[in-house]
Amino acid sequence: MVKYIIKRILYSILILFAVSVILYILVRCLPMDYVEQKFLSQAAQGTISPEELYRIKELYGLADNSFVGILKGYWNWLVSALSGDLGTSFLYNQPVTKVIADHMWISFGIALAAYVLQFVIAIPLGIKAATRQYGAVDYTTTVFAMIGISFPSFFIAILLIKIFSFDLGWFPAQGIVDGGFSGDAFARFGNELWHIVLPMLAITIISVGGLMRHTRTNTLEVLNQDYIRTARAKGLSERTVIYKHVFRNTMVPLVTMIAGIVPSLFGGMMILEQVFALPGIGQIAYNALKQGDIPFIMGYNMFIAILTVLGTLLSDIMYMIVDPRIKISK
Amino acid sequence: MQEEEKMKEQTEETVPVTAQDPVAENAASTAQDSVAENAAVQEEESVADRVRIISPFRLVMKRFFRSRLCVAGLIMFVFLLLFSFLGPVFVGWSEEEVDRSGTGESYSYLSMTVKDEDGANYTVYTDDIVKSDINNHALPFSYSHEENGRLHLFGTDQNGRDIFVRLMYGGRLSIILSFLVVLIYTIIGVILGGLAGYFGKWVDMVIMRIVDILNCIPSLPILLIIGAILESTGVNADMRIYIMMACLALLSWTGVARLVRGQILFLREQEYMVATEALGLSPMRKIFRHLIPNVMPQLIVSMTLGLGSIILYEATLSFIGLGVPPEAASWGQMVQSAVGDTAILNYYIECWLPAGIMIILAVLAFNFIGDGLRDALDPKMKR
Repeated sequence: MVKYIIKRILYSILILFAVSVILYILVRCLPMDYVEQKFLSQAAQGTISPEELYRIKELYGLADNSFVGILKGYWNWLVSALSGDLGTSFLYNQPVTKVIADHMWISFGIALAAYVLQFVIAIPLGIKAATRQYGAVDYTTTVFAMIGISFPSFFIAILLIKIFSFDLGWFPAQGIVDGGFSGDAFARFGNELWHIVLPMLAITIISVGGLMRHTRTNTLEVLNQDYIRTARAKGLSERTVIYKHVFRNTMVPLVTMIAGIVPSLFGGMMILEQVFALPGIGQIAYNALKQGDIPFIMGYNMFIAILTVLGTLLSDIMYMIVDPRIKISK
Repeated sequence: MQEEEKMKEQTEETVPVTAQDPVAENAASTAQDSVAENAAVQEEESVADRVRIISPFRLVMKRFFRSRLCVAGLIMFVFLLLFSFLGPVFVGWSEEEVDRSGTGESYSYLSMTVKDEDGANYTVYTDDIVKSDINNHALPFSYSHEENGRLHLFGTDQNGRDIFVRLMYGGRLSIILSFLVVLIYTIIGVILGGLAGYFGKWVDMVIMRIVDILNCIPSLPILLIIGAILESTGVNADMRIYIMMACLALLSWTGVARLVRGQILFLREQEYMVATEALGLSPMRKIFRHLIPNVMPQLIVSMTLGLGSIILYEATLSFIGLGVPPEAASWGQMVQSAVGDTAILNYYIECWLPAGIMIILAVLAFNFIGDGLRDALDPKMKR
């Protein structure tokens, strides 16, 4: 097992290396780099000479756009990244790691709350739907789950803002805290909670359906197993059968969902944060992408890539721990 | 099902007897005391009539149409097709046409407070009638202000374009793009997944590592970067969305490849594949005649579900302004109009709500059909 994990980690490093190469080359292909964008008006007015612009570019390490130059730039990035320094963001004027760490927690809080809500809603409903397959509960949950899955994230956000913020006035539409809010830390936290209700609801509505369908399929699979028939034949009550024997085994395949959960917990939601004007990591990354902030784009995308690799690895390991029948094939 | 099988067994047992022994049967039937036997023969025949051998295709169709959700999905899909491809014929407007029969009825108020000589305050209102020749934000069910004015079923948007007809053209774009993208990435996925699964060893190794790498690259940031690159290289704005979607296809074949590879790894060990080996068939024939058809059911399901997710992707790209140029219609862009402008969000719901509902309808149709197909194509399903 340890050997398997080490092998997987080595593979992951190789994959991450390849991902970083592809990303870096793509990012350097961005036609308007950060410096050009920033000094666009000055260059147009002629207050900055091309030589000065070139010097600034050299300072940022963007001057040489030939293939060798890009390779050199990549090498510099790689060396400092390996020593834990992802560089300084052009746009935010702070170390990339600090920008990520500062804004990650807003996204994380919202995503975590949404996941808790999702699991609380989806798992009981999924099991109920499976035990009464083709019943009324099954049909209604299926239809609602499918409608939820079909919602574009931006549309649900706009709809929620329209209904709950403008029409009913229950929740604030945008931002993470009231403008000009003054109060102690506790009151501020309460205010923030108030602001994340709608984003959290949006995420939950979109993704609760998938989890519910997943639970339903797993439960149906388990219900057809021989040991469930045995449990019923023993004369156990249906309650015990469902909540003790079925429920636990239903949880096994759900472990694989960790692979998707890990990156989405920390990675932020670009579109939703945009619509709700939340200063989360997704919004920050979106702005960086639009402005060609190379260190941040690299840092952010590698952050997501690492989370994806970690999530997959974690889910495989968890799966082996939870289900002893799984054997390592290679 | 079980009953049918039993009946089949019965007929198989009894039919040969009558067939082998026609003389005896004839003799028996001509005999006067053979009434009972005659009845038995008749019963056999009627049993044979009642048994129908259903081809796998018919069985799937039967299962598919039995599910109410699938039929609902199919109806929604047909409606969407007719709406977006045939619909514009019946509407008097075209995609980019601006209704220039302006109302000239928008007022703007100016008020100011003036102090009189004796100290009393007067408020002076000035009415200003703004004449605009564009009939923007026309109400739903209103007509354009021309002679025999044409109907705006859903009104007009902020630029005076008919919303109803733009919904149709937006649908056209979404449906065409989603089919193209799904087709492209399925073909790539089937070929690469098939190669990886069939040849194994280093081929498998290389292809699956590429899959791993692509899985780690977040697609939305990449598409944003590609969008920015396209914007400045001066690619025709109409072509941009097609190139973007092609990039999306290049990023999303990994799921199909994994599916095909997994299935082929499983099927390769089956007896009938050993038989093809013994027959000395070529690898091409083995893969495309004997392996791929067996992967087809799962592939069809994943393609159908993929159509829905590509429509969502297209809408998202249009929403963040990386889709078609602003004059052309797309659902995502129509919803986007509500974000920048609170007035549109609050008072001109017809600008964005129908577009959002159309997106949901389209995705839902594919999800229903895909889900139903999965159940219908699953040989393990009893119902």
